[in-house]
Amino acid sequence: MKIVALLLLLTLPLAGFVVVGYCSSEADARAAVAQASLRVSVCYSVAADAAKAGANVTGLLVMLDDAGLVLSRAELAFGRGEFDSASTLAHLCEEKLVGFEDGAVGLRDSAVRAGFLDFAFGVVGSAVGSVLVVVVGVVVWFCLKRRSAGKVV
Amino acid sequence: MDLSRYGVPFFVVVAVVALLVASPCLSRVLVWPRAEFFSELWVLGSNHMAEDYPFNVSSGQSYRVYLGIGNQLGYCAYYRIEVKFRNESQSMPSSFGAVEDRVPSDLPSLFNVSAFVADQNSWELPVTFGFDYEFNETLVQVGFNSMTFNDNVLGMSGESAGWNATTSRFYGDLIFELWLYSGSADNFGYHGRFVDLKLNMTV
Repeated sequence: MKIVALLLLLTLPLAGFVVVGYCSSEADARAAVAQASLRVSVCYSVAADAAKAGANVTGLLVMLDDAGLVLSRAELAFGRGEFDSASTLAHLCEEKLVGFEDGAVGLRDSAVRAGFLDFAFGVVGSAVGSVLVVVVGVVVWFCLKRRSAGKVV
Repeated sequence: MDLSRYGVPFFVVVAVVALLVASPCLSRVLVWPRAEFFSELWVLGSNHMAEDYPFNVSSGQSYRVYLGIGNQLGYCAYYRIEVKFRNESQSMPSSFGAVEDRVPSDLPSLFNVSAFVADQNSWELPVTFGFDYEFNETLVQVGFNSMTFNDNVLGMSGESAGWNATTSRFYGDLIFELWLYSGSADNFGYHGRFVDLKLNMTV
C-alpha cells in the first residue's frame, strides 16, 4: 500500500507536467497561428497600399501567396491537433515575410515619386504644352499677317 | 500674298499639333469610369478548358482541375477559398440575389486556400484531389476516410454519401467558396460566389 502511495506521489507531478506541457503546446500553437495570420493581414494591407500608389506588387503577392499557403497548412495541422507542426509552420509563414514591409514601403515610395513625375510631365506638361502650341500658333499667325500687311503697304 | 486664304489650314494644323501634345493629359482625363466592381471564380477541367470535369471518381484515384480567381474590384484583394464537401442532404451555399444576402454552406471548411490578386489580374491554382472512401453495404452508403488536396490529407471521417435511387449513384459535391478579406472589419466575409464539382462516387 505504501509503495502504491509512494508511486502515486512520484507520478502525480509528472502527470501534471505532461498535462501542463500539452496545454501549453496547444496554447502556443494557437498563438503562433493567430500571430502568423495577423502578420499576413498586415503585410497584405501594406501591399495593398503600395498597389494603390501604383507600384507593381507582383513580387510581393507571390511572397504573400507563398506565406498564405504555409499558413493554411498551419491551420490544418492545428485543426488536426498537431500543435508542434502547427507552430513550426506558423513560424515558417512569418519567416517568409521577413523584410516584406520594407520592400513594400520602398516600392510604394518609388511609385509615389514616379506618379508625381508622371503627373508633372504627363498631365501638367502636356496641358501647358498644348496651350503653348495654340498661343505660339496665334502669335505666329498675327506676326505673319502683320508682315504680309506691311509688304502690301 | 493673301494670308487669309491659309488661315483655316494653318489653325487646323495648330489644333492638331495642340491635340497631339495634349494627348498624354487627355488620355488620363477622358477615361470612361469603371462602374462595375466584381470578382470572378472559375474551375476548369484537366485540359485547362471548361470541359472534361471529373465526374465518376474512384477511391484512391487523383483528379486534376484548375481553380481561378479574377479580380475586378478596383483594388488589390485578399481572397480565401474554402474547400468544402457535401452530400445531397447537406447545405449548399447560395450565389443568387444581392451579394449581402447570399450565404455560405454551414459545413466546416476542410481546407483554406489564400489568394492575393492585384486589380484587373487573375490567379490560378492547379488542384489535384482524390478521395479515400469505402462502400458500406449495410447502410448502402459511401463512407469517407479522407481527401487529398494538393498533397494535404484532409480528414473526412464521419462524412458519407447516400444512395440516390433515382439516378442509381452516390453523389458528392466538392465546393469551393470564395471569401473576401475586409481590412476595416479585419475578417473574411462570404463573397457570394462558389463553384462546385458534382461527383459520382463509384464503388
